[in-house]
Amino acid sequence: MRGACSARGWIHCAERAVNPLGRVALFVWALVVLAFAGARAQGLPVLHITALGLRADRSVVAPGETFHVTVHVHVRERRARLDELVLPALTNAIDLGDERRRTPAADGTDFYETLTVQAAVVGTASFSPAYIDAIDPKTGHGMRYSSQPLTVRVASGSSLADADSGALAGLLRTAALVVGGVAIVLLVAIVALARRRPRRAATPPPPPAPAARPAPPDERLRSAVAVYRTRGDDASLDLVRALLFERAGAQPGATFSDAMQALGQRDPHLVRVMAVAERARFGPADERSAARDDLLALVSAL
Amino acid sequence: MTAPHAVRAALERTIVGQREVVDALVMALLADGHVLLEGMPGVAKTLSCRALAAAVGGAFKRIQFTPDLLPSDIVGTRVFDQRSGDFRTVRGPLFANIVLADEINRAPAKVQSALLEGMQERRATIGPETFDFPRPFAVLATMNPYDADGTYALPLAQLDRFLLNVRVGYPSREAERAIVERFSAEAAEPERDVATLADVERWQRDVRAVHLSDRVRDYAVDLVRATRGARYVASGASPRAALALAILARARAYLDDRTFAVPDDVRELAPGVLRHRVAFDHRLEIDGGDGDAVLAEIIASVPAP
Repeated sequence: MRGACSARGWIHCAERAVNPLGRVALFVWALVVLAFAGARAQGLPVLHITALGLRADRSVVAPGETFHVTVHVHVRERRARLDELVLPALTNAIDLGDERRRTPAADGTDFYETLTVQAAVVGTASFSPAYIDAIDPKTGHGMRYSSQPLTVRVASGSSLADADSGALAGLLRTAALVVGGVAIVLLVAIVALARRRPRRAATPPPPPAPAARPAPPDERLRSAVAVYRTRGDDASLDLVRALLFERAGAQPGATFSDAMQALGQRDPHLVRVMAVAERARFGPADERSAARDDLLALVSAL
Repeated sequence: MTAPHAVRAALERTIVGQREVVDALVMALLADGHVLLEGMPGVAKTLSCRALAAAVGGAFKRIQFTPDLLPSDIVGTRVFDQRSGDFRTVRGPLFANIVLADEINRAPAKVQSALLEGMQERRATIGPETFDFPRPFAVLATMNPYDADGTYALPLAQLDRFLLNVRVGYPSREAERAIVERFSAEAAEPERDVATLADVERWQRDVRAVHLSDRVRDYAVDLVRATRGARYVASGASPRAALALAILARARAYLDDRTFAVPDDVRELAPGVLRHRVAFDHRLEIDGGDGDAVLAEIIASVPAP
């Protein structure tokens, strides 16, 4: 076999492989690829995943308010557990806990993972896609099934009211279109139901939990510090920094100098805490550990 | 062991009411880069450069750029020595530690090109020989953006060689009163030999060791990338701008006695790093906008970590 072939052009190369030596080489290569793919696929479950979604029970929340984010997965298999599900990473929100629920369905199993989270500061709380790595039974290949990402607006009291009224106005505007379309949709649905059986009854979403009252700033800071104390990762430290800046009187998205400017000479201890937080976040590796200890010690005196 | 604060303090005693200019000059020196100073006449641009050169005790040369200047006037030339009967090399004023290129936009493109090539390469070829410039080496160029008659605008590619572009504004009323009080009777005399050239080289090495975390580095890159395709921007900043932001952030941290750079370092330095590297389109002029205001919007649009 002469000439270079791109990965995509192997089939054409195979067609051109007219001499026996070339065919043998191609066969050996194919075996190696298949063996490698098999090795990679080992350890992944075979799953018919027909639904993987991420939704929140609120689209706009106040800082410190608790809300729920639910990951829903439907698999055709009858499974007792779904340990392969990777939950979304949180930004500008504190994870207060999660609850997993399993519901057997006529055509498989539904899993609901409900995260109870608390919004941190004004801005956007975002959730990365939840995902599952599994083998697609149709192709036999490993695949990553992902949900969509999710964002929830975190707004102050007045903005929240505006957002709510804005959302209501938007609903009213679209209501007319929806009502007009309902008749057509129903007609199409009836025809479709008459011609084929539904694969699976729609699974009702989990009941929305009652929204809690926004937590006071100090409580949010304490929660964030507790999470940082436990996890010690950059995401939880970012939240602590954001709440410290907020405490200093800075706007969302502020930096250390913004917070210093907003604070003025009012609270030298808070300045020290914020400075240590900067060292813990951006300092060299050999300084960060000590800075973390300093931060946890200093922040408790706030 | 002298610290860069001593140089800054010496400059501040000479240059009244231009704290940002002083900081920019010291940071550029620490970052081993060149500075372009823009401002009206009489706002201490030249004095700032002279004061910096005097403070670090290096060889200082001033070149007044004029339309009849030739490249050999700044780089050097070969002259015939009648006694030896051979050519000998005469090095130009570019062979100094601190070079003040005054009113750089008054010289033709050929001279500007020779200067900027020297700034980049840090060496010059005269006849058959190539000579390295002394270390440390910094060019401080001044430009008056308002008096444009008889000037030669510097192309963007050449402006990119300057690490920082500093706008030298008018001092405050208080500072102006202090200037009149202190310097009306006698001329401002810069403080000499506050530090040595060896100190400066050591500081430059230390600055490169300042920690720049991934998040701060990414922030610098994002800021530079945000200039490309932004409203009113015809051509955005080059990757060299991101490099400039990174080294200057380190220098600012070092000057602030920190072992690590923070997002504030990048954000504070971004206007000076970006303003001469971004070309604005005609719509900005039509709308009566200001380049610095556009840059401020771009910078504000990138969330700091």
